[in-house]
Amino acid sequence: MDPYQTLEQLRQLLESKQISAEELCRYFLDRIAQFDQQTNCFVSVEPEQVLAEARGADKTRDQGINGQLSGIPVAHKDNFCVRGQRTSCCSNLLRTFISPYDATIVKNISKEGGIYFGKTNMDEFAMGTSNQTSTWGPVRNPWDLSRVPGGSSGGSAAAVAAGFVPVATGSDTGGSIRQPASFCGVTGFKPTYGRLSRYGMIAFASSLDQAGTLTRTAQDAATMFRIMQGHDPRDATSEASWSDDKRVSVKHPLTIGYAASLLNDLDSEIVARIEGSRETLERLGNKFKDVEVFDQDLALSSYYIISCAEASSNLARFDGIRYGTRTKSASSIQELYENTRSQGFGDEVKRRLLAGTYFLSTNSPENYVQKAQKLRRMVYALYQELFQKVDVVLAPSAPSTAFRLDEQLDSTDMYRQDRFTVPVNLCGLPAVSIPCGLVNGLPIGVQLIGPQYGDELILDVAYRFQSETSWHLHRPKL
Amino acid sequence: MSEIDASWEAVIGLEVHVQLNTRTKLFSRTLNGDVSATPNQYANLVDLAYPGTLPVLNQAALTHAIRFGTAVDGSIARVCLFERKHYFYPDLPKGYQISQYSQPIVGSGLFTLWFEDGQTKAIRIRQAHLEEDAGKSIHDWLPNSTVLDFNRAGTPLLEIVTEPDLRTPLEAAMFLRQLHALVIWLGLGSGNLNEGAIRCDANISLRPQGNNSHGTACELKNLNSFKFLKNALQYEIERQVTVLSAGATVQRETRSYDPVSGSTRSMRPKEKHKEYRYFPDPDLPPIPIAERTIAQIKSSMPELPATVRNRFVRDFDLAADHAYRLTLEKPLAELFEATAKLCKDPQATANWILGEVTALRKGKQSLTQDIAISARQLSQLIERVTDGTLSVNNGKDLLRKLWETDLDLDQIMKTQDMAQISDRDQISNWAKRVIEENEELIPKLLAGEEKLYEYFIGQVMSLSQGKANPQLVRHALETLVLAEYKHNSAKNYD
Repeated sequence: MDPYQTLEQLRQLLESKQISAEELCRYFLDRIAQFDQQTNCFVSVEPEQVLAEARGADKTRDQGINGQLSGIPVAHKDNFCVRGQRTSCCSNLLRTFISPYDATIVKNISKEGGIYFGKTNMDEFAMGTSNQTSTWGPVRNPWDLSRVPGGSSGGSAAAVAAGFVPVATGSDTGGSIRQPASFCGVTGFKPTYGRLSRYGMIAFASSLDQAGTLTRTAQDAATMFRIMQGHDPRDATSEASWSDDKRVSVKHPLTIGYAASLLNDLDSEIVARIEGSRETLERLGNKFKDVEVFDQDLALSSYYIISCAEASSNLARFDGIRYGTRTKSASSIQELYENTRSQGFGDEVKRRLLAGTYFLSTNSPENYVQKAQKLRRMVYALYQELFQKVDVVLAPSAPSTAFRLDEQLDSTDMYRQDRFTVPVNLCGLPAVSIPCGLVNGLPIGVQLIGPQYGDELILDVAYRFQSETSWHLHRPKL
Repeated sequence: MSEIDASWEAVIGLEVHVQLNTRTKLFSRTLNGDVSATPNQYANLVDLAYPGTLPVLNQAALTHAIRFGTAVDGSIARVCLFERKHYFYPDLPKGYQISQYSQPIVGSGLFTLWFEDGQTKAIRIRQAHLEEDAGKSIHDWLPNSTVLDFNRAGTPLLEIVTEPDLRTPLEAAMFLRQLHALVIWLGLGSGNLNEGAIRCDANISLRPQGNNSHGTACELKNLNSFKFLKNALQYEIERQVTVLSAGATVQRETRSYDPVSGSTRSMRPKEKHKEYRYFPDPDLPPIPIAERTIAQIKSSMPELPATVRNRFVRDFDLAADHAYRLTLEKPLAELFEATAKLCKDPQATANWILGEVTALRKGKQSLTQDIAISARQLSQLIERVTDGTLSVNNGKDLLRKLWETDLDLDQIMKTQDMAQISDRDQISNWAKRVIEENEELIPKLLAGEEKLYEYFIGQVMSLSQGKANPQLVRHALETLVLAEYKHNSAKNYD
């Protein structure tokens, strides 16, 4: 059995009864048991539960009832609520939190028969780019165990790269799906803001958060997207109607925007891979057009101010009163808050909550948040204009390949990891990172960015790219 | 000190929180407003701010707010925007309250305050905005513990803020009374003050009479009855006069009112700029409010109390105070109008409604008690009393019998044999009998002891089982006594 099969291949195996769902799940469980001690992708797996669910899928298949994902393992990032399962956001504060409900997209996936396979590791509350801030310990990159998988959806990206599951969900607030996808050599898709429900996905920064997937291929991403998407009456920011007039129709060939200036400070090997993907896309019949993009550092500042401000508000609910780990030492309500939060949150989360609290306070004479919103509107306007001229934009996914766990990056360097990905979140655009080569044996990805509601369009380009290349088929040696 | 020192003037503004009676909460699908529920029965995951849950606006609350705005002729925001107001408190589940800060749904409006003599005074409404209520912290349930009940968390509130246009405790109390009446009239909330469905805070400062400056204001919290509001303001005025007269300054602070001692006491100093870190709630995208929506709501508004009041004075020639009292509640006004039209006697109708009908409702221990009599029944009753078929007392008895039935008045009168007896011969016979039985009292009566007549009338009425027309009884008695007098006089001449 090959652990690196696409959803379509697995579906055929199951449908033709070459393998049962139980056997399939047992195979992946064994693989996790064998290798995940090295990588630490999963923070919870309940084998008995998985197998019971798989047996249920086999039974319904025998009865002729088949969902699109029937019997296929799907892992969820630990910030998606799954009923009856620990949902910790990899934070000490939620170490013991059992969710009483399913997130909407978790529900959508299980409705189609997807087998809940466990929770994947992540940066605490999705704040990070290296998956080192998890209370359950760091994730190691399957390509090189001394390296990080990227973050914050590091567990999901590494799990797919390691062949532990064919697909895992992720969340992307500033690049948290695309950067780890690039580091781990998998396909990471972040849809248009609002196309996937946020209900049940524990918020980091509400106006930027978007659920998405880590998969082997763009085709798998498209399959998952069709299953997960749709209006959710429980999420006021989920798009109300799916009228086709909003969607950008799929066509070929395209005019692709290319910002050469983005490559200026990148390693020449990485530049060569991105140039290579440009050539591939040209060979497929697409035309390229040079474009200018917004100043990355300004966009990055805007992103950090807004995301920290929103996080400081969203995480106010973690007070230890109704759920979560409450401090054992408090002699007043004030102390209860202080100690619970001091003991519950890790350093990176605290750093961002403190910064966000300051940004929002009227004591900050700089009016950070308003300025950041102004910048955000400017970035948005620029992309609107850009998509008048081009159909999609090609850009790097990350400024480097996976770095080593012991590399001491300071916060600012860490934050600059996001510089190619945050403008997409600021504008609510869809983007997909696909593998485009190896540099010194490590994978690197490239990003296709689409206009709003151009989700299907960029997935189509990615699919055509992957039909022409084999970078997405490379596997790490475990 | 009961009189306010005439050299000072009070400047009062109110902040009134009105719980809206929408079926579900402001941002969740939990049922709203069941005060008899067991603690936390109506608190779902959204209300408890479970990780990952999101708010979704209940449109009905928005409609309620626009209805109120329309009623006070306020400006309606073109976009409904919610902001987060942050503070930590155990009964505030999210660590912030969803409220409106930069763009209240209702902007400046006017509330016409009515006085019983028909005078009016315009009170400016600064704004009204939507926000969610918090849960309840209960400190006296368990020893050394605070228990939390989140049933109330997420209940929609409309916070109505006036400009400081009120000048006396009485004005403030009347304003609250009339605002309360308007809220119920419009069907926005139960208005139940005991249950906290309307909660009032007051800001009050003093200034020298004739001076337009503003003194330092104190905020009085939780004045949850008209009387408490009035008494608390009265106490506070006296306190501030004492402070100012002594040459000291009033501290800017929040004070609470103790209804038992009738005094206010300092709770905490009021910070100038409390840091709430307001910012637009990213979970709730701004909702544009279409002109058409506002127009639709406007066209569905009921006639407002002030309009009805003016019409009653104009069309039915009612005294201002009657018109005022009849329009404090919509069912009362409706009963009045329908009854007056049927029986064509507005004054009698007003008297009956403000007298007997109101007394009957108060007897039921609830101001909002439904009126259990129809206009048809009441108009028939008034007609029978007016034409003398029914005595006033029997009319009152009958009203009690009609209450909560839909029986026809004439039918009850027949079966209960309540029709008034106006048969002069019959009455005269009863009167003769009473005079004969009380012969010894006749000289006193003749000597001019008018009060005795009441006794004689009472005796006749009781013989008739209360049905004799009292006017005819008096007439019969007078006639007989006069005849006796003449008879006696004639004897004396003999």
